[in-house]
Amino acid sequence: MATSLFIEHHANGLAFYINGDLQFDTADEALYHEYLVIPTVSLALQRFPENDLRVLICGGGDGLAARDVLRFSQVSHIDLVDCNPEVLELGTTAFKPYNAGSLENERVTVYSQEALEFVSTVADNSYHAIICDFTYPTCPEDTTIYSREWFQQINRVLMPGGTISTNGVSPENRSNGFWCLYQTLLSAGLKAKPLQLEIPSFHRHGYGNWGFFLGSQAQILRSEIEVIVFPEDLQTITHEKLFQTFVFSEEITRSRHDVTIHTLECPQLFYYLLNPSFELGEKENAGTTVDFLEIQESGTAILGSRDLLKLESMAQAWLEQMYESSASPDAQPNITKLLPVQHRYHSPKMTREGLAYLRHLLGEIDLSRLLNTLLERSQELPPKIAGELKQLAEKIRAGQPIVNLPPKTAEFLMMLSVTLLMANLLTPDAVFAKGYSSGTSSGYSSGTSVYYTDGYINWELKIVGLVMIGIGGGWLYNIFNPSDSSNDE
Amino acid sequence: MMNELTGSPEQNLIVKKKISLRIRQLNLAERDLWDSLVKALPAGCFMQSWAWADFKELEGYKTFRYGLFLDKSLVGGCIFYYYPHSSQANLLIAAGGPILPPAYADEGIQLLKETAANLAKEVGAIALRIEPIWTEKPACFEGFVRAPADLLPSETLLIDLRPNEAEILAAMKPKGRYNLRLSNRHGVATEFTTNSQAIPLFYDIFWETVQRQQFFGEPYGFFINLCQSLFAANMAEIGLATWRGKVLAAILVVYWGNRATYLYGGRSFEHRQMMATYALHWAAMQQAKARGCTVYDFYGFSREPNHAYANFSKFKSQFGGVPVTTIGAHDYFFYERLADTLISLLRNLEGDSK
Repeated sequence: MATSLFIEHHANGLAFYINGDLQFDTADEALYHEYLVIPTVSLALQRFPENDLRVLICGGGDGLAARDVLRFSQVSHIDLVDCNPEVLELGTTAFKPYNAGSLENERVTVYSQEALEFVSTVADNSYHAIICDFTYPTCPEDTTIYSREWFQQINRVLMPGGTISTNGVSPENRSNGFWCLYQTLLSAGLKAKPLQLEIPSFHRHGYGNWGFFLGSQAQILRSEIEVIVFPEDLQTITHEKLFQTFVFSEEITRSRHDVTIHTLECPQLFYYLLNPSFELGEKENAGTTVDFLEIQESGTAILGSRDLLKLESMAQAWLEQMYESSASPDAQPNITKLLPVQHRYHSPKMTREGLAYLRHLLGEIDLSRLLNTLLERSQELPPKIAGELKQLAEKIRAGQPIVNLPPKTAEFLMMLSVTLLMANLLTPDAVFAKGYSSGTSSGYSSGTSVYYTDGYINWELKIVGLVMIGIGGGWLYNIFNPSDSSNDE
Repeated sequence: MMNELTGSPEQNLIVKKKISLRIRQLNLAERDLWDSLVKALPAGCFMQSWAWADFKELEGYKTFRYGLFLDKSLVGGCIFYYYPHSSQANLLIAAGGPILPPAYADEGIQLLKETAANLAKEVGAIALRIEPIWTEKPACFEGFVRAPADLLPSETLLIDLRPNEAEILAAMKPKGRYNLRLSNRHGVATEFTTNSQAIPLFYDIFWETVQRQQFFGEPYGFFINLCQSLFAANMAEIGLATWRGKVLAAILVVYWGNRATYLYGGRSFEHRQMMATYALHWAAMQQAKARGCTVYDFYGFSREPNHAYANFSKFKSQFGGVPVTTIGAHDYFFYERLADTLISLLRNLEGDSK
């Protein structure tokens, strides 16, 4: 995906955006960069007091993280690798007043290439500290550098006992994504400690509290953190404040043992980021906190069984729901699984409003033609399905009503529905449509813009229920009735 | 008047020559040629412009830009848009397209359908969704069915900018003229800019409006990409209405051919009595006129009182204008591709069903 850069100038400095996501605002970037850099390098310094430190920065082409690493005189060398030459260019021009010329410092070597590619060429045990300062993923490809395989590479080039820190996502707004990263780090053999921080400019953009991870092959102990030494002239970080960043409300941490890890084979992170599954807290645990410096956790290393953003996963969820609904019609479907958000511009609400035109989408299909196309290739179909589709084609030819469908025919129509829905969900602009041809309008939400918890009763669920229960019912007859001329309007 | 502003490719038929139509992908050197062609047509839409396609690429879309040629002359074509995904269930989209040569509409659409079918096979699309801004369906439309949702509003309000200022004012509703005078008396100032530093000013107002009106609004990054792409092509401006230094209303206007389109906008909830939106749209019309546009498109309108656009439409109608309805989005399904997808699902999920 192409990258767009934007610098917004304001009275006290500037704000920098990549793909529309705020990277930093000079008004408070010190908060972000000091918490990303200082604990990691200070801890490495404490663990390797006799060594000149070698540090790797992945991303961070703006030079701001490098500026803070250079505060440590014991750091003898920094390799900085960033895949975006334009950002690196800004690092030596527009951002130079803010990064103190870090990218031109003699202790820094800059590489303009993909981090994964660079790290794969680096020898084992090369660095005492590694800092990952990547952008927020905007598409599935962007999540490669948050995968277990990536962190295993990082672990490989890190000295035993060395430290890493990585930019995360918001534990507040993207809890499951945040804990997915946590478990992924643990599964890669890195004992990770989560941190969270309130960055005013991030809050103003609706990002919520921001999260980081501090990690190492060796356990990170409170006693170590208590005695790490910070360089002078820091703007924001103090020992006391740092301890607070390891403390999370119990409510936010609740899903951390249930999430699946993110691997290249079975990607999960992007699904979690798009489908945050925000849940309202339960009152009895209000005020309870978890201090991650007080606990040492092993990873659950739960692997996902499928990429939940794939059509196949969605179809499978609908099939399961169809049989569940037949067995117990009052059961509430899990809408997040049935209709996952597929694009970062979309909210669950927008996605669910797509259900409103499922019926119309089905009505667009020339079912006879589709069946004939399928039956011409019947040898590619499972035999039972081929037989049932043949019967359905005959029914349509004879003008018989499509009711009391046999199970495989119902499954077929369900998969057709899901395929049509998916095609429309995948097109980012579709939810910003300027009106339905039925005369109602999209482009407007019909309620508040909060994320629904699963099981929330609303009109979308009613439609799903109608589809599930009615899949063999009369409504299909109305849709596929050959005399219906609504498509010729 | 509106026949001059919109139309189907079969209007003004010209005599066919015995030359066959060809289709091929356009190259970068043909950018201006393509844009000139699309601009010159009454139904040429900015969403088929080269810069819009570049903007969509920034947004993650892949674009396929095809031209229809008679001998060596570019006479039509289509920019197809596709959002990549590993699923074999996707759409090819041609918002504002296709561009068909009037005398070769049948051949043109046939070639474009064949090209789209090949692309669909390549990228895993099950249908092509086109959305030309024609007011009538041409006969060559066989196989296309009405889609449930339009990317472009299929009903809009067009203001004719060809008369002089006094005549345009006279064509406004009395309340519209009154509010416009009121905004002038209050000293509402307007300005139009292509300075990207105006994007946050615009977006703050836009987002305030989104939240107040509860409609789906695109995020800030979308507007960064949109404005930077279109400003560079001299295709758009941000209009701001200010009062005592405070921005009260903001709009984004796209200029394409003879048409200026009010694509996005919003107003502050504060100081509504200043009627800043009247001053701003009036200034936008003057600005469009000065740039040689003959039509100001309000981009979305409804005559139905229960429609979600009803409130906006009431405001827009104060400026006069003529409501125009276009044919809306239409889908053309690739049944072989749809069958591929369904066969794959039926086979892979057979073991998971009961």
